[in-house]
Amino acid sequence: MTHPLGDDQAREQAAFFGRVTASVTHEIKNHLALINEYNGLLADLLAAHARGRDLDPERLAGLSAEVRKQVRQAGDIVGQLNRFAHSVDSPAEEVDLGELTATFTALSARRAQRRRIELSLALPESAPKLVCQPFLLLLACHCLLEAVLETCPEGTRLTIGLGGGVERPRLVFDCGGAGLAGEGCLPPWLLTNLDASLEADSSGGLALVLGPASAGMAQE
Amino acid sequence: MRVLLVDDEEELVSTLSERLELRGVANDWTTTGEQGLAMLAEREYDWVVLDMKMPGLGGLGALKAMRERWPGLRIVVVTGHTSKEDYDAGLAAGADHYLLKPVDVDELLALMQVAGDKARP
Repeated sequence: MTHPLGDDQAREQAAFFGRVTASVTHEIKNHLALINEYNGLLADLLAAHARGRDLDPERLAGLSAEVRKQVRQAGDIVGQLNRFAHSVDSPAEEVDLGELTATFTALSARRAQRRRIELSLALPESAPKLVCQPFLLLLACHCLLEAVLETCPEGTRLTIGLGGGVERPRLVFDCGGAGLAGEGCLPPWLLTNLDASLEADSSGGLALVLGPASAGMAQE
Repeated sequence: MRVLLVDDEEELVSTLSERLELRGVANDWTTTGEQGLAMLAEREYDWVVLDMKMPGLGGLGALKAMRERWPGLRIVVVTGHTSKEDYDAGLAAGADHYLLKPVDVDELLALMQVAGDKARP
């Protein structure tokens, strides 16, 4: 059976799905590993106490708080992975660009961190909504991020922001004004599907300029 | 015996450090390969437990530099990835042992005790 989008497009989408899933499950595994380590440390402290060492209540409370933190962080990333999995449910739906950008940032933070780059969000109070397939928009963000990470200097912050108003909303990747290169990082079929284009932003960053929004943000 | 732990995941490496300390093993830890090399230059260590997947110099880069400067140092490389490439690269660059993350503290100690009596070739 031939995929309706063509083999290359299907392969690119499957590869993206796999890459995100691999990265996020690795991250979840890290949280579980830490919970396991805290449990091991707790057992060690109790064993030391049985041998006569003082048990520090503050240390135990600290460990308990760490476990809660890891469980919450793992729960958050599982929630984002679930949203990502549902992004293929419909070929076109109304997408809140603020929520989608937040999901993308959460799913990609670890990837950027491995390159010593911190991802941050700059969202307006009311984000525009756009009718598209959210999965394809996430894929476009991913392609753009991969290109940007190649040129964004280590140790810097990469801000993903929203601007442009409802006529042509813009997803801007800005690395503190550093010139970013991304030419050719987005396959033409993806740009066509999203009615999008890639432009240099006045900040020095790169902007994914999208088709007209359907609702949301006030006109700038 | 003094051990240097190098892993960019701070919460993981600091917990391993505390667990080793509770077992009477003196150790220090850091989150970068660069800092690990600096600590080795400052103080004598018997073992290094080195994460292979780190940004910057990376585990492999740190491993090669350590092996070049301190040929007698015993190095255990650890990784969460089970690829044969990682395993082969670590051993080819001079690692003595290879463990999967998360490191089982008792397995690590057993490995060090067994290897302790054998001089590094």
